[in-house]
Amino acid sequence: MTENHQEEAVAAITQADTLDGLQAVKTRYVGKSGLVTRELGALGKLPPKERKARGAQINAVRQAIDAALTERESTLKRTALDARLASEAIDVTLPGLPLPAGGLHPINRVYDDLTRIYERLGYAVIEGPEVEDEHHNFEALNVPWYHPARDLQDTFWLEDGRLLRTHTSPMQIRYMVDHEPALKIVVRGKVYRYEATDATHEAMFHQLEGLVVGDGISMADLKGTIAEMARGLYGPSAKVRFQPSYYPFTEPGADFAVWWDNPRGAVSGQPGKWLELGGCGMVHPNVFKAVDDLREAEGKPRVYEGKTGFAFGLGPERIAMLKYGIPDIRYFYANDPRVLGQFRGELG
Amino acid sequence: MKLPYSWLQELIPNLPPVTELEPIFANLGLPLEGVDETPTPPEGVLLSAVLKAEAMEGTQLTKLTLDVGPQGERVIATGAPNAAGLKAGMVVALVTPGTTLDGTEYAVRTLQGVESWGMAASARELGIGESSSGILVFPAGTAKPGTSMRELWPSDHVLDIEITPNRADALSALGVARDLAAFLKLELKQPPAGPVPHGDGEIRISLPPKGLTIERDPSKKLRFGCDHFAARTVGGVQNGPSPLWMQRRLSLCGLRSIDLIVDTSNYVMMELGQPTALYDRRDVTDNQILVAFGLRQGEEVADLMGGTNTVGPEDLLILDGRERGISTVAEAFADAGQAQPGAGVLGIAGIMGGNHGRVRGDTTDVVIESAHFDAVLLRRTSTRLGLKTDAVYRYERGVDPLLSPRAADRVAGLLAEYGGGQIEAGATVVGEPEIPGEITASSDAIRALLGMDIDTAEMRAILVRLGCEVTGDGDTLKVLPPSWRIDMNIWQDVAEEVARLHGYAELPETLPTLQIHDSNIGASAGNDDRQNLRRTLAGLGFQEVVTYTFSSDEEAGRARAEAPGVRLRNPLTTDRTALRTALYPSLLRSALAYPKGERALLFELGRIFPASGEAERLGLLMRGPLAPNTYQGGVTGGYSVFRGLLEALGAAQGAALEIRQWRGEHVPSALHLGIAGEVVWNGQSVGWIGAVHPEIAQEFGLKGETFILEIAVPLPGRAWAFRDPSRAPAAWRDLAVIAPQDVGYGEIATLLKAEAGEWLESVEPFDVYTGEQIGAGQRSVAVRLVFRGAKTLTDAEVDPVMDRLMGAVRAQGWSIREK
Repeated sequence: MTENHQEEAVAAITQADTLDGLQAVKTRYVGKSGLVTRELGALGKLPPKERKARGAQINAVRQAIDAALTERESTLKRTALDARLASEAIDVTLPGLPLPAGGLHPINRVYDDLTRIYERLGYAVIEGPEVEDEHHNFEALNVPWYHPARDLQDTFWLEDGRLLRTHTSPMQIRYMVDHEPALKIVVRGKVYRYEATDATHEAMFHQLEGLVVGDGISMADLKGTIAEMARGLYGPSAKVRFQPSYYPFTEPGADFAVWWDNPRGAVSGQPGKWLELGGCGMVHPNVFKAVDDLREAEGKPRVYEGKTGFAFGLGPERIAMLKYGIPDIRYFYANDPRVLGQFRGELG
Repeated sequence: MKLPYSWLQELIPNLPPVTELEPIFANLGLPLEGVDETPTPPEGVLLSAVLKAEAMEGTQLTKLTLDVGPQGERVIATGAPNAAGLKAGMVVALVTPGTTLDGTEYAVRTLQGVESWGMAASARELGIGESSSGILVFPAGTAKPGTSMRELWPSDHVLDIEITPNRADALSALGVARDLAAFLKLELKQPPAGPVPHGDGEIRISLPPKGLTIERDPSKKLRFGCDHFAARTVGGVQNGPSPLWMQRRLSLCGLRSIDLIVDTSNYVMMELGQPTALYDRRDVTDNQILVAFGLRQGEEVADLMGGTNTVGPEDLLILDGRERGISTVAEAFADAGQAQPGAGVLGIAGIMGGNHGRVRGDTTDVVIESAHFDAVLLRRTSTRLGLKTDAVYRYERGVDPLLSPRAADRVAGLLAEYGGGQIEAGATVVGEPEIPGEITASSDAIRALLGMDIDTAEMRAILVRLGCEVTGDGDTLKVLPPSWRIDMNIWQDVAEEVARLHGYAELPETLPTLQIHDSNIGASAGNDDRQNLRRTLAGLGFQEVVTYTFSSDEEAGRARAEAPGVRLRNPLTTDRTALRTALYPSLLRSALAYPKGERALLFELGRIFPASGEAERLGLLMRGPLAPNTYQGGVTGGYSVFRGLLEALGAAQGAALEIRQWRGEHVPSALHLGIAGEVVWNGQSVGWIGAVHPEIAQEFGLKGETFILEIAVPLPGRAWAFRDPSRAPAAWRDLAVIAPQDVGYGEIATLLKAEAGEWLESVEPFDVYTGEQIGAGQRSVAVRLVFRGAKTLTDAEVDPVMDRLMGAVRAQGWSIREK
């Protein structure tokens, strides 16, 4: 009859479709006064000879029932949990709470791209004043008042005789007066030109200026540095081209362009192009002399004459325009949220 | 500068084809801004000789009878202003019937009763030049009548060459060709020299002394006013149209043809780079020319373009021999057409000729001035007078100091050849021009500066090709630059020339190896701080803006900001006349771009320029909800959200942050009277936070609350110290303080923190109540105080602290709200 219990119990267990129902089956067979429990309790009444064999038999039945119970319980629990979770379903395709998502201005994103490269090369990143005096902006940079190169940099003059810096180069002077060589810096900041605004000209824009001074710095070092920047910006296939140019505070001077490999070159038939990015050159000895003169006036030792160095300058607006395909420089300072918002992520 | 390809090809017969020139020019440092293929006139434009020119009674028209060669004799009517003066034999460009120009087919038509067989065209009508002021006229004998004009005016390519201010030597066809020939190692054919030997001319010239100073910079001695002056005279010139080839070249260079005398002067300038001035000899009284400055100050000078210029003390003038005898410039500049032209000012040296002395219709005898003037002096005058001519453009960059006699000869030769002039006597040449001196360079130093291995022999060869004389042994290069390379002064200039002709493309790529000097350590700290701020703010949901630093008194007034401390002397527009004194007006302007009611969370890190000096600021702005309502509820904005974002910024920056309420007259006028406070960052006052005053918001067109903050950057830091977190459980107590409503929470918290002692871990407000239960004008602020010690704190330990705190509260005249 024990065997019958097992068959009955397992059938009942399999049929139980709720945890409560399963519990009832459990109580009926293996509960305190369940059928199997009772039979175990009745073992004592059997002769010792039979007791052992019978005991083993009942225990086997009990274990079979327990195993069936455990399995069934686990199945029912999983089903119940699945049912609960299903009832808790959320439409995950609905948008979430529209928390604000900030972003950096595209100019500063480009600046970050650039300064990351130069910081890796050991350059300090600095800023400086936007209101300058004529001496730092022009004279000390080998652009005396009568120099025709001044025509290239139309200037906003201030009522007090100072000016809005026309380039970041005056920071070359300020930094060298305050520090000693060897040095490696890049300068970031706004510059100003007295120029009517159009798609490619702004009265206010930005520059990144580099300056390296030490012993035995060469023009090849300058070219290698620009090439390193080009690879950092445009990948390992980027190349650099130097062509002679003129900046009064450099000698020799050059313009540099970077070869940009068109990733879709094979499709478009346009393999890439030279991007004219900026100007550079070896620091003119008159600049070192002007710095030493200023240092001497401050009671500092003359430490620049006889050194060599290079300087370069480029416009992040131009790089941003090329990188993001921005057609008009006026987009940068209109701060239209529909434009700025494009320099953040987007979720469909 | 524009030059036709054909002209360069004439000077360099083996010049590569135009399609190969772009990289060559770029590698020379004379980059091409453009290469334009210029058109040739259509087939049906025939050069035709004038037989008769008759004014048509009662009209503005002229009837021209033309010899059109195989087409026979033809008649046209034209309204061109220069048609009436045409002489028999002169050649015009006739657009014959059936020819299509600019989409229009020309046909025979009747004008005022004359059946006009086509049209005599201007350069613009033919699409070959800018000039539309009159029809093209060429000298007699230019071509056999009926010749198609395109045979003599073929298509060409105009190179638009960018010339940097140092390359004065390249501001001519010869200059560009010279550089190209040196670079390409090709033969250069010099333009024809003037045919005349020098001797004593009749013109006497007096130059100003050397070693002058000027007011702007008395410490700088000018080298000279004028250190080289060649004068030559040509008599019996028949002025008229210049030859077709000359008109064509000038037109391709972007210059207008005037007449033979003026065109010749311009042509020689384009050919050799030397500006010249041509005077009517009748006006050069006593055959004397005086170059001087300091004379005629304050007087008005009429120039040949009809302008009037007031003479300054430092303007270099060209005067004639009666200088001593005249009393006023007005007299000197009296119209030359008067019976007795006064002696006087022939011109403003190197910039523009005077009305007196100008070449006119009946001029036959010409005095040619070809001189070398001081660049600084001329630039100063030209800037002051606002006169920018092609001549002064060259002078201020630097004309070859030795070129004067050659150019005078060339002008004389051309006038003799094409104007039938008689070259009289010799030339008068005075002055002692200064030319660039010898430069001593070391080829080792050049190699080191360039980082490029070029052998010394190649350096010498390059420099010789450029026209330098090179001596010196071994490593030493003694370089005497040619007179036209006034930009070569130091050995680095020599290095550049070597690199330029060797090719910048050959420069290797290396990286500097330097041990940075100690003084540079930490120079990036400011930038690191700015980067941290930017990234944290973007992470907190703020959008960065970069705005114009320009502002105006009007905007400062509207924003109730400090009045501008720095104003522009030359503003571009009326709304940008000064520099901003605060960031928040820029942020308010930017917020306007955001739709009404929508969230705007903006920040800017930028510079301001108050009277106290340039400073850096961080500005924040918030409008609208933190999260707008959508299908679900949103999160409102308001001061507490704005302040919460600031607290998060402070926490991210490791700062102890405190806001102190401002009341009454302490509230800046830009802020809401009741929502304004001082921001204290690590114990230092750095700026303010608050809601924009509603009147200002309205002025800026902003509806709804706008919160702003403006603080000084760099923000003060603080020392970091590690505290071992205690594992003992916390003890907490609640306390409700009743104080007058104008007592800020900050004041209460500060008092509690000051009195609680070292166990107090935090104070957090959990209930703020005003109402009947505590009486009018009072407010209850309930705070939870959390205490923690090294070991578990007992009531016996915490209770005395609470007693002390309650005592302190009551000592302020406040009370404790009982439960």
